[in-house]
Amino acid sequence: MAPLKRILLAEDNDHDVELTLAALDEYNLANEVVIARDGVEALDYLYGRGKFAGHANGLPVVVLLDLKMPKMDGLEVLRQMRNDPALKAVPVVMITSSREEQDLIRSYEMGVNVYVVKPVDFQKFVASIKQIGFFWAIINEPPPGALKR
Amino acid sequence: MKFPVKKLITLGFVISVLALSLTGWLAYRLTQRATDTLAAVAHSQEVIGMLVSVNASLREMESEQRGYLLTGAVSFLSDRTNAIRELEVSLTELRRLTRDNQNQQRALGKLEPLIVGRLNLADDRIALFQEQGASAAIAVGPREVFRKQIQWVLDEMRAEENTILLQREGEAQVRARSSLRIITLSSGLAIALGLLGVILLLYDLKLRERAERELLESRSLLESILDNTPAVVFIKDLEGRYLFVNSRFELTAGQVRAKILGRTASELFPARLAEAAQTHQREVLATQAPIEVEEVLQYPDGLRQHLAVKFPLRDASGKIYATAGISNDITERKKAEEERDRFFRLSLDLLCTVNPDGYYKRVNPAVTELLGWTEAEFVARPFIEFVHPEDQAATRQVFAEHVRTGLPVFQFENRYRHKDGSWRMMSWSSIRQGDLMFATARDMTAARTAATEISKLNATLQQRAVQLEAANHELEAFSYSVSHDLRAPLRHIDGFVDLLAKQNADKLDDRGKRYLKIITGAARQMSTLIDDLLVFSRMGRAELHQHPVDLNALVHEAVAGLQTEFAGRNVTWQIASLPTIHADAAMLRQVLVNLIANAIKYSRPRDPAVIEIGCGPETPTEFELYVRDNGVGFDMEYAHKLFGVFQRLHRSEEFEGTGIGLANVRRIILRHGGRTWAEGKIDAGATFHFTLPKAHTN
Repeated sequence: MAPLKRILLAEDNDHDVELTLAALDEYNLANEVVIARDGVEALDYLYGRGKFAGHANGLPVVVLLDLKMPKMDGLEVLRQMRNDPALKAVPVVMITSSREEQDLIRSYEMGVNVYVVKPVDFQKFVASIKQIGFFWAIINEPPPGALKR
Repeated sequence: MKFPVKKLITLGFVISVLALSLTGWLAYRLTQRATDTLAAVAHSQEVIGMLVSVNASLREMESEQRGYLLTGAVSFLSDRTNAIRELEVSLTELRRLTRDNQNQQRALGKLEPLIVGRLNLADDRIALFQEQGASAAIAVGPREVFRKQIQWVLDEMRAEENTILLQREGEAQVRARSSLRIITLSSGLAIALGLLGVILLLYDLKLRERAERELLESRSLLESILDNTPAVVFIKDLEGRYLFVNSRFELTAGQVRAKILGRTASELFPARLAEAAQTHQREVLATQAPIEVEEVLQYPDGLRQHLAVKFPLRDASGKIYATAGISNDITERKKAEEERDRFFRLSLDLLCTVNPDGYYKRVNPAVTELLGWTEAEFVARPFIEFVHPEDQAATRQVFAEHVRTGLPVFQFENRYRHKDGSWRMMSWSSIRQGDLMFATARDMTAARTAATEISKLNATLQQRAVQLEAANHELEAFSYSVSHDLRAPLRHIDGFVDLLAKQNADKLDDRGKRYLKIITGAARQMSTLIDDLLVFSRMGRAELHQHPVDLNALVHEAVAGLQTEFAGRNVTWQIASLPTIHADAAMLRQVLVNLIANAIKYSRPRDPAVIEIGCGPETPTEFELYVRDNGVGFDMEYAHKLFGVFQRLHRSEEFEGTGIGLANVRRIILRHGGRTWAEGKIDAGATFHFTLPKAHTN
């Protein structure tokens, strides 16, 4: 049985969620996506606690993070992930509408793998998401432990 | 060594004289004694001679008597009588001679009766002879007794006399010896002292010679000094006749020394000058003390001011016998003084001297200008009365400290009352010299108010800067939110429209599809606008980081970045060799991208599109660059709108764009201190110029 490859999407905006799922769907990856509505939920999933306590899916092969989220934003999630040896290796893609230099700098400093700016043009957005999904979920070898637990 | 040579010599001399006198006297005494001794010896010898004579006379008498007795010749008798007479004479003489000697007199006392006895006896014998004849006379013989006794006395007397003689001789010898000793000593002393005296005299002589030499030297030194000093020196007697003048004097008199000495001032100088000299002379003699006077002296090249000291000269007894003068040229000094005085009078700062008692001694006219008081008013009261009550305590303290320690006061500020009642802020600097404080003050009121103004303005400026900072921050936050939050709905519009189109492709007719397309287009347009606005806003706020930038590289970067815009088209690039300029690289890139993008866009209808990038004429102060295309150009009448925000000269159907590109370019170039302008002609292309100032080489 093929191991289940999960993609964690942290996004607070419903519409954006819907659009992202629609894009991922073109590569049939939609089923593998776990939605977190803010930073806290994202970490809950990663640590298998709270809302996601006891899930048996292991670590996701990639985390798609939005920068601006209530409670805890993407940068904070990223920081915590990078400071935790268990989560350090998990690939993180920052997907955000901000091209602000500050955000770029801070994200890369924090150890983000990919930084993608959400274009208004949906077509272009779909193209990016597809490529990201394709790359991380299919091509890339996830770090060991992604399929554990 | 200070020898009281004179005293010693005198003393020595006196002692010598005394010694010699003593010697002389002793010699005299000695001679006298010797003479005495000789006399005494002679005397004694005479006595002894007399004694012998007595003895001889006696013998004679006896002999004659015997002769008579033997022969009975009368001649013997007369001879005997003679002998007796001689004897008597001798005895008398003897008595006389031994008058001073008691012993001899006593002896004589003994002798005379004995001799008388003998003579009586002898007479008796004679008588006997004459009566009885020879045999009777000869037979009697007690004469032996007398003879022996007489002899004994005579011997005694002789011995006595010898003793005396010996004594006297001995005494004489002793005296002579001691006298000789004393004489030797005295002479020796006298000689020694004499020698010492000579030595001392010679020494004294040497000293004297040296003193004379030194005197001579010091005299010539003095003369040398006097003749070389720039001071005019003279000595004149009580009648005003010159006794001595130095070389400088010769100069002022225009005569040589020889012609000056013995003459008076009135014979040598013009009346006015001579009179002054005489007045001074009189004053010196009257006061009998030195005086200091200013005088005018005549030189070959004109008159000069002099400051002279004239003083009396006294002789050994203290009487004034001449006056002397030393006169110095103070013309230069006077000039300097005048200048200094003028400086004091003209100075715009307050210059003053202050006494330790708190009163101004002297103040310059600036006081009236600065504070309204006359000089008289200012010095009349203690300075503290002019000081603002609140500043008085501090002023008092600083002044007291200054007077006490003498340390200079530097820029002490206090408020002084102007005569009109207002207060002026004064800044004081003061230095103490001896008992006097020398102070200057400056009116700081204007400076103070200016300073206060400046700090107020600064404070305002500071506030404004803070406000500006805050505003910028707000704007930053604003843009940030805008860029993020405004885009989200746009994305949704675009996204869902797309999904809608996809999912309902079969249900939508062409018009429906068209409408959806328009909606999508509008959303994208808005997104572009937002992006451009953000960039435009940032360009205005961002700091310029200016460095030397290689324009060639930058242009090629820009072109490369715009590849997609002219992909598939025939574009001819004419890029000249561009200089290195001083600018913010990122911003300049934006400029080039905008201009080149425009060139590419508006030359789309052309085949081939020719885009030229080059330099304009270089001036000492700036570089000029241009981007030229052979595109659709524009109407110069609307050129002034080109660089406006959101201003476009073409409709969006013809050429897409937000109209912010050129506004950005202008903004950036303006911030660099350059200029932007454009030329164009409808359908004949356009050229966009901009300048950049050259970097200042520090």
